[in-house]
Amino acid sequence: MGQDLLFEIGVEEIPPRESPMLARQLSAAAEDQFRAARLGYSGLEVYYTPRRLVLSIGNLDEGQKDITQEVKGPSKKIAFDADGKPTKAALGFCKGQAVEAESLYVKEIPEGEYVFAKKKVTGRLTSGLLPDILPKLIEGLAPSETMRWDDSGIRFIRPIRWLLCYLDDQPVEIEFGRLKSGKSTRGHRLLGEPQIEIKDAHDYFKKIKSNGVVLEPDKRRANIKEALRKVTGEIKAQPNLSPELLAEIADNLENPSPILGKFPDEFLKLPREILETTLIEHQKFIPFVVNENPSPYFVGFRDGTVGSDELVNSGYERVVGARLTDSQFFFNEDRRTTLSERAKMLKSVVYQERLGTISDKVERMRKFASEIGSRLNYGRAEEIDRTVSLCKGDLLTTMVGEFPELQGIVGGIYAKLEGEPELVSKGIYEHYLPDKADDPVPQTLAGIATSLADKLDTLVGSLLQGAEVTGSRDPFGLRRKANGIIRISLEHRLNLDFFQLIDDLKGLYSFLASKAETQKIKDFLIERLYQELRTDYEIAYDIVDAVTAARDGNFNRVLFRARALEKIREEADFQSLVIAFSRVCNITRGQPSAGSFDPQLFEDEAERGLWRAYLKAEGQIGQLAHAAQYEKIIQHLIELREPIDHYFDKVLVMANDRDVRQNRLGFLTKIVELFFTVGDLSKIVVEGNQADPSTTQKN
Amino acid sequence: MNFQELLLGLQVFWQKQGCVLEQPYDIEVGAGTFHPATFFGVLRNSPWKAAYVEPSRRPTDGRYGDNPIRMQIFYQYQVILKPAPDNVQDLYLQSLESVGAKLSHHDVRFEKDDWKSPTLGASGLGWQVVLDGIEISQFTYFQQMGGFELPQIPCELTYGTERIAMALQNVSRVWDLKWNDELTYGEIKLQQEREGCTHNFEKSDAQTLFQLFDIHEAESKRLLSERLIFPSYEHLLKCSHTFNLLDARRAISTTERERYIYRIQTLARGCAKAFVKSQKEAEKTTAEGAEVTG
Repeated sequence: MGQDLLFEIGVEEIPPRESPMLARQLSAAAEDQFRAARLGYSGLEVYYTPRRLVLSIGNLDEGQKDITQEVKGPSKKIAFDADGKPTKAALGFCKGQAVEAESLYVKEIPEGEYVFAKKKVTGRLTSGLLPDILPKLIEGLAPSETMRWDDSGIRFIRPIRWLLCYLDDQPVEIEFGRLKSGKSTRGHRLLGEPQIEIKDAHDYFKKIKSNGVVLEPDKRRANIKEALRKVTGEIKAQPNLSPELLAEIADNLENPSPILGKFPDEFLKLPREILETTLIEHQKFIPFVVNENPSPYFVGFRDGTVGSDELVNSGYERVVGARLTDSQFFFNEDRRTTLSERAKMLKSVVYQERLGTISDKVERMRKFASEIGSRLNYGRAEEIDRTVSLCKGDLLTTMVGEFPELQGIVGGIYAKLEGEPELVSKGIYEHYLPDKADDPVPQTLAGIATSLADKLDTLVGSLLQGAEVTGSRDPFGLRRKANGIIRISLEHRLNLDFFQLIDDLKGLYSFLASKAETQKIKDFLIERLYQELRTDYEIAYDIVDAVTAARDGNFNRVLFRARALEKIREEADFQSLVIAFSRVCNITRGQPSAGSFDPQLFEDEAERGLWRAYLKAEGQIGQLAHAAQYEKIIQHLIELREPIDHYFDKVLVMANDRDVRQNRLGFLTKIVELFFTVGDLSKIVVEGNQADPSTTQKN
Repeated sequence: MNFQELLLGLQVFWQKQGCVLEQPYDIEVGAGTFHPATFFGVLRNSPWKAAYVEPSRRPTDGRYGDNPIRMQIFYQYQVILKPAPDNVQDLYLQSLESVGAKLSHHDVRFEKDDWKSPTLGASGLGWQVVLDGIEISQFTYFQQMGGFELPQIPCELTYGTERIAMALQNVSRVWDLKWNDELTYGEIKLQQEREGCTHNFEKSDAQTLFQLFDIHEAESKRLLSERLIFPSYEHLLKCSHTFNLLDARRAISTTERERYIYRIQTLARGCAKAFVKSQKEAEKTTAEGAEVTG
């Protein structure tokens, strides 16, 4: 029969984004520590609220099992004298390990012959081990920021104020910094007793509940949703609750209790985005909508209630009124100056030190957007250009100063009010999209062109001026920018070669006099493309390897190739093709890819046969590649399989004659290039062909 | 509970906790933290507890008296406790109850708010305390002041007195607060607020302010070089307020802003360094004195 362990770490209010993370760490640390201590259990749970982290372990072994350990002693030479009797050294070792001299034995190990003893280690009781283990659990927590609060030298997210630990009904005494564990916990600030004596591990859960604390984070979330459901019925409006807001509320309270409030109708004139952001960002209140129109109702959650909510309600309504008055003030202030006037003022706002002002950035973006628009035959060039010119104007509004997360959105709203064309205002509105992983991509032509131009400028400029992205370091959010570019191009199936675009426009950055090459940018984009195809499109790694090896800046084409390969990969013809192509790759690997050869010098009929087949395929493939008909292209490549196999049967590529050899390698390199229209097929894993990661061709 | 009773109540509460009851400083400051009782208080090498009202000026926060809770000048109640007592959160909540807040009828929360004052080279971790949705206090465990890692951690409690009074009196506009039983906050302060806003946003003279900034900065440096720490610090306070006025006039561009803040911070670091040094010297003198007499 095991014992039940209860360990509570009492902390002054932990910020809501930290507590779930700390709970996960506590759970992992406990698993590690108890495994290392050889203590088994049947259930491990971690709970958290803003004021406590709680570890509960069910059926924990009462103690460690006895084990036998082999311990190494001195070398045989030292341990035994000429008569084979144990020396002083050996006897000392025996005493130290508490074993009998008779039980020593000799073993050959790499260092030579040594004496060993089998030592019985008596397991310790869990209650005796916990004072060592539990402080280590706290030390194992790594909050994202730490502070000191006394002179113990201990750092944590906020001051730790109490520790409670019970093993069944036995309190376990532990020390941490200046703290000693006790037998009591603290209840909910409003609903519970400040000091609660606990009798045993089970008693804790009963008492904590009756003292107003909802310990389970999931239950707090469920309670919030349930409360909102009730309100929805009463006021006939729908809550706008994001998962982030739900977590933020649930993890900031020990007992969420709803307060329904209403703000004056006059504020309904404010744009919905501004209304909702005011409620959410400043107050964590939940806005409501009726048929996509803002409603004057909101719900805030207080921490526990004893049934007298009037003062809280009037407080909530008062603060919402004041906040909305402020938003109205910002809105009226902002509307005195037009976006185009503000855009002119961007000349004095620095973007990045070496990349000039935001105005400079916008000028570069205009070039990008205009190229993108014309290469994609978007038309409406004037409106797209106007979108780019105005899109950063809102950075100087007081509204974006107050709510930075509304950048772009505010610009879009103001542009519409100023009577800009719909395409322009919509384009501005969505030009930061996608920013986060679950954001949608922009939908209008102006939005797409502006978003791409913005992200490309940041990416190209930052990388050319020497920014490095490594591990957790990504100062300009370049991964997100690159992901955005890739997602837009894939989701809108853009037939646009980004590498060519970057090369054509790199002159915009000549002022940097940078030695960095656009190669770095392309590598970075390919790496992000790789991740995108693997995770969002769930394409097998070998296919992604194959298609990204071709290093095509037209990401949409890369996706088409991957889809074509997915369809055909199981077919026998194709698998034979992979094996044949791998032979070509293997022999040309590391050879200078001169690609120059003279068909006149072909000696063997098999060579000429492959040459004819190549010419035929190449003629067709060129056309098909233009139309991105990759399945058909692969069919044409399959026709090369037989001539290739025949070639290798008959022709010795590595001929003694240097000229002949070079000629053959040059020709085969040409074949590799043709295959790369689809990708490096040698990366595809098929039976009989071990994909070799080193066969990546750089071309 | 009228407004002046609230201030009195806080004085009484913190006096009982053993605080030195300081008085407001006679130079414009943006917050109670700038008062020497806090800036130098936390750098003292001995325990220190002080409490005081501090009129605080935030020129950019003015709304011509139109906003129900925002103004360009208001009254903070500042408490500094070094070292931070273990039960400081409870003490704080008790102080609210002592001035008549029945906490079970209100929603009181400690919401993450890490505090930084780049101008003072100061930072700390803690919360804003939110009462019925309105921020009523800043609750901070200082970690740094004047660029120094503090060996003994102080806790700073900064009460927004008007907002607490609004909740206690259940009024929606600060101007409607009862200051005493005869007069409202608005009757006493509204004209000053409106004219203050007009001055801060429209009529202050940027050229003069830029000059003043330079003059006070130079004076602060000169006085520090003469080891006159407090007089030097007073000119720093003048710089800080001048900077806030320039900010309200939008006379300082985003890039220049950083530079101005850095200039003030440099003065603050200088004062802090000189003060810590003077504390060490005084300690040494006392120790030597003790040796001679002992």
